[in-house]
Amino acid sequence: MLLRRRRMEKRFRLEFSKGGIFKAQLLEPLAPKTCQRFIDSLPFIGTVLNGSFCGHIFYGVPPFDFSEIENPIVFGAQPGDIFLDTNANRSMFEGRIVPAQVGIAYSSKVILWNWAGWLPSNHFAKIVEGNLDELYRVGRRIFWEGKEEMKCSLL
Amino acid sequence: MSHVWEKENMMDKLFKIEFERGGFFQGKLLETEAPTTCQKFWEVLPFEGRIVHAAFTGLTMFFPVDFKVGKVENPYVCGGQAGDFFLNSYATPMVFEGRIPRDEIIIPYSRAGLFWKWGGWLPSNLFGKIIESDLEGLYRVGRRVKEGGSEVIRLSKV
Repeated sequence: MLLRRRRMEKRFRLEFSKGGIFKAQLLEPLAPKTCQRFIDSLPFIGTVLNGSFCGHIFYGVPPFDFSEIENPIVFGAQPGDIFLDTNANRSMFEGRIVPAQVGIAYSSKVILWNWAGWLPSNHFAKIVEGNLDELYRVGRRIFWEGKEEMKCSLL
Repeated sequence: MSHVWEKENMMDKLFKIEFERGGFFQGKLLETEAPTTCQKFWEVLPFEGRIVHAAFTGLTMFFPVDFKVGKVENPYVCGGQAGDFFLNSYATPMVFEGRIPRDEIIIPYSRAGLFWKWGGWLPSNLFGKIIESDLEGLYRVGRRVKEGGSEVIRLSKV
């Protein structure tokens, strides 16, 4: 039963332009619509940047928009958790409504908020293969060195 | 984005701020509000540091310094404005990732800043502010540091 369930799990690969490859599992029972929208958009390459407010998390804008909230979290993120921040509070930045963003926590020091309030974010996937210490190093590299590219593709 | 056209008093102590990848500003000390912080800062000028964008405190940049103030005076955790200079003295002694953090200078480039970390609030001493400068330029520096990563900041007396 467990084996069969594992075979059904959809996984995707994350690859960073300055190094670091990880495999993540979608949490379809918990966030089915978010997962479907994400799968439909694969593969894509996006730019990731460290968060300014949320702590140890980096973000990229995916090639789709999604505004529903499912399986939301603002506290309690763990390293390797992957979120879709749908910008529930419709906050604006530099004159534009902030688009939905995929965020990847690289430590538990994360609170999902910004200047306009909480950012309940859809927890839709988590990293299941790859060293989380290396994920932390990727996060700190983005923090110190700035943006880099992240490629997401279906396995 | 507004500009600061505040005229300095002849008695004000002024300092220069220069960023490695471009951007030159002039600041003044707020000695009445934060005398100890200003004195410690003034004594160590000139110096340089590696400034990086904040991960927790919003639209701010920060860098660790080699001097220790050890005092909270004129503290804020919110309400900072673009161009303000804050000194985070880690009022609550903390160990982060096995190390006692150094004091840090925090420079907001927008009003969207809140001084905290996962260990709690960081009441930070407002001790200086940028004067007679283009704050849009400071905003561009902030976004450049955010996207392009850390860079050297140089501070010296005028």
